[in-house]
Amino acid sequence: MKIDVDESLSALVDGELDAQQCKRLTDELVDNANAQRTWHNYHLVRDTLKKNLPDEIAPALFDRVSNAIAQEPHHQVVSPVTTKKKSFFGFEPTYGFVAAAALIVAVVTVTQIERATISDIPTLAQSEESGVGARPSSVVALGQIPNATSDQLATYLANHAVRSRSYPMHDGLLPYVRSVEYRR
Amino acid sequence: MIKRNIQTVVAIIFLFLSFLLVPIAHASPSGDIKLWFERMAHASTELSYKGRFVYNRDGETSLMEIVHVVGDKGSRERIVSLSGKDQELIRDQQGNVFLMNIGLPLLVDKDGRDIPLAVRINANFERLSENYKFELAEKDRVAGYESQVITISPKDEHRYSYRLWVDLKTGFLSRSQLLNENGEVVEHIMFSDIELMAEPSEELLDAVLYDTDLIAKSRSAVIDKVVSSVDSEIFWNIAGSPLGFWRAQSQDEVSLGDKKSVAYLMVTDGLASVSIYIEPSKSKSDGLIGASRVGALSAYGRVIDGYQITVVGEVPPLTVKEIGDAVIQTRMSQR
Repeated sequence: MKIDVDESLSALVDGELDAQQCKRLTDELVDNANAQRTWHNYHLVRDTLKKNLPDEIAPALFDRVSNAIAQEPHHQVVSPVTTKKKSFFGFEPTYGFVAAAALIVAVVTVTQIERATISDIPTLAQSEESGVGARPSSVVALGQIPNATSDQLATYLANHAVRSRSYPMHDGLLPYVRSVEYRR
Repeated sequence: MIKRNIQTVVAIIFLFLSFLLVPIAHASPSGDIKLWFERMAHASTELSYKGRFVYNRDGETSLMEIVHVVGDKGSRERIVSLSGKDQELIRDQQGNVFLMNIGLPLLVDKDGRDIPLAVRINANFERLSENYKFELAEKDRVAGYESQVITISPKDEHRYSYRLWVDLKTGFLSRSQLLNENGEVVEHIMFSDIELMAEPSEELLDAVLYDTDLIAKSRSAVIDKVVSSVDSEIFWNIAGSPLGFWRAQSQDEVSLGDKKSVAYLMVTDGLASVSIYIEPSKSKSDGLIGASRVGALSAYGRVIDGYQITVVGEVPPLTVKEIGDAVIQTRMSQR
């Protein structure tokens, strides 16, 4: 439903909805706070990009930013890098930028198929015995991720999203978009 | 006389064959594909544009707006989320990447530059061809523009496949899909509108959510006191090249959100990459054990001598398992 509303709002902003669709969306806007917020954001972003902000909105934007700053408990001082590589995940959990926990936990829970037992885990000796280059079996049992593991795994996934070069459009800022999406 | 006639006939036949062979050579599939990637590389490094795109992963859809400006000193970008929470990302000319959502701008990366995908593919085309098949598919339309579809299909079941839509006129990558081993789309980006800009204005790159100097106002995502969990006498490596993946870099340390750093390895087959995180195991129940699928990603965990090994990547579960099983430990004296 959320996706439909977002898409419809985008179409509405672009003037691509017919009268009946407009009515349905208007009804949704009346009842759905998230849709109202999205609607507001569409217009705010579009107007700002066009340098078309009316005077009465600009102070509101300023206030919103000021409030957000004021509500922060404390700010870290920009410090020199102490590790030699990207430290993308060292900021406060309030930003949620790293944890990625909520979505990941949900996704992980949904996508598990069956729980693997400890006996399924190949030991180092076994793996060496079988030979690294040996042809693998075509099926691998998918295990369930313990809740205690999910947060840590979410951190790894977000970190991998930035470092990975697997995605075709993985240039510029898109790795960061991907990482941001992983924590939603 | 007869000899001269034979020479003439042979020459004519040779010329005829030459005319036949020249276009065949020019039309070789790999040659065509490489030309497309050259055009894509040119587009990604030379074109300034703005547009909107839809990003879809694991069934979640986001609408985003991007401004990409190419200049003498490199490219700059701004991406704004148009759906859901306020999100804005800006990369400046120095490669600093700022995230803005709530609070002050956050410096999330320094020198955040990368070699464009098309350049990397062209540079490694022969090696990539060992594991992937590159083909020109049908023509299609994206955002109102004619595009050539390029498919990158794995030659075995150990990696994912890709579909790329490349604008016929400019080489701009307007749409792409990542498909898992079952042919299901697990990640998808598609532009809904694109506007190329011959002379983009600086104002287009100004932050929308913040109108101040980002560097002066930003906080750093870098943490100042990292507790290393990496034993300086223990090193990790990959035995052989499991399923055609090789180590992309030497052992590294990455810092994570809980103020600790862990050992890190990356392996790649030239296109797909898989990350390996290694840290001391807390308890048997805490770490990931076995293979699992997490949306577009697969994960695999095991324990070696009290160390938790976690492998994640955009590859099938079997692949992360094989790679995880190939992780070996060496001590300083054994190096």
